[in-house]
Amino acid sequence: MRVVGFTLLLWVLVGCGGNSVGIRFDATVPGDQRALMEQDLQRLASIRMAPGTAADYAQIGVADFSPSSLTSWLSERTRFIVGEEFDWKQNVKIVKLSTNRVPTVIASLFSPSQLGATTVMWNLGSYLYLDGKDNGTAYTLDLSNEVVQVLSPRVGVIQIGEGLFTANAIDGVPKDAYANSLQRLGTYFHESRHSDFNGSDTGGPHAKCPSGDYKDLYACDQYSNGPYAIQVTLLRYFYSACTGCSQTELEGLMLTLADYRTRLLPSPKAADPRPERMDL
Amino acid sequence: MNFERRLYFSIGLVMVLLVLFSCTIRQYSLDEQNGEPGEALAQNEERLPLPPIQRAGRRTSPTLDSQIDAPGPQGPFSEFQKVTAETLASLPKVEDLRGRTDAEVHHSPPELMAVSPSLGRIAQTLREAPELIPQGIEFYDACARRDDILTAVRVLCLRNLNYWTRQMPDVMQLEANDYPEDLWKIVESLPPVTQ
Repeated sequence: MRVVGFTLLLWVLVGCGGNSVGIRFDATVPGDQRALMEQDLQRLASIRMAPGTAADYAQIGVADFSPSSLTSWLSERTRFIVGEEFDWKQNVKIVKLSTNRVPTVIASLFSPSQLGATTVMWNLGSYLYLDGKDNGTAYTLDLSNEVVQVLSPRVGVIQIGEGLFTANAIDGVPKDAYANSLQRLGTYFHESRHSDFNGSDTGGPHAKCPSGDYKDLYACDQYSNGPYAIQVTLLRYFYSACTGCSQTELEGLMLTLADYRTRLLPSPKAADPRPERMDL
Repeated sequence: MNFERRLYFSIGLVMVLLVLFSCTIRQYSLDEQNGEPGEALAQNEERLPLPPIQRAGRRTSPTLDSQIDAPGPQGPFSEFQKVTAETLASLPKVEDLRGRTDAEVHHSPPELMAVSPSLGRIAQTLREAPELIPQGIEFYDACARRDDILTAVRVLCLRNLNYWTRQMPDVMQLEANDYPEDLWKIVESLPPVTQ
């Protein structure tokens, strides 16, 4: 019955021009990138993952690893996708502050994820929320078809770039290969996690790595339920769900999984993932 | 009947002697050409450039060397050896990440993705050609021991090394202490290798 209901919901959403997760794409997202992302989301809506452990479910905050649970989790944290061309500095407005100024970068923790000049993906909404919070103000963001009030890290505005489909993709495998979808889905969940948490943990900022490949860089997770931590958990299941994948796809996924696993600091603590909200 | 049996026996004996004689001549000519037996590979192709490493507890199957040395330079062994040598030389280094910003390493570096096809090819070859597994083990061992390459690659190599040495314990028995404990912890947290 649940399956029928979920299928009907998918059918309605797709029929309405949306996608299975209900994420809205800004006009700045190139057509080919949108098509690949929508394919990724469709694959998430039909993924067959092995049953997880109670600890894994609790870490992420899902009842199970069914497609409906995962897509629901994602849609609560990622609501809008904007493209690399989207100039947020031109489209942000101050709601409550005497001086009219553009937000400044408050910390390296939330600067855009870029590889050279190419953006991979970053949580713009969470970044703007934190900047406003730090400066005692709030912002609105003008997207193509709507204005979004940035009153919580859960505003869910994510910026993507070409790097998501090139630098972040497994070499030697088509962009639309199943493993590359799984790879990107891991990134979507990572960035979506930056929409969570409260207080000093708001946004789930990354910690400075004390040693290893990323020594002295803010590329590690201090939380047992932070962005890298949940990405590692999901990639473990995604890897096992990559049946029929080539050895190149599997080794690529494994390299990513191992890389993120190295970023988990020992003895992490679970942070309260409930998002905070700013009152105007 | 006795005469016929003796005739067949004589013909058989002559044939066996002929085969033995031709084998001896062939071996002699190979030794003349290559010097000492087992040096053919060294003269005809590059060996896998393994670093000088301790190999405590390592046992190499006596069939390994003969398997590597038997085919000519164009054989599957030398071809695979070329692939593993090139891959080993191209593995991304920790040094490559120096100077990167937080933003640039927020997601996995592209160098990691770039090496996937080579590692995938090696993994696929071992599944298709079991006779190359000893060479694959040698590659994974060398890779897992290198502390100048990205940890994720070393982890992948140790994971594969662990798998293949369990499949072929006669080739090599893994000494856990030969590899950093941190690597083992990560390997143990990953999904197992499957055939």
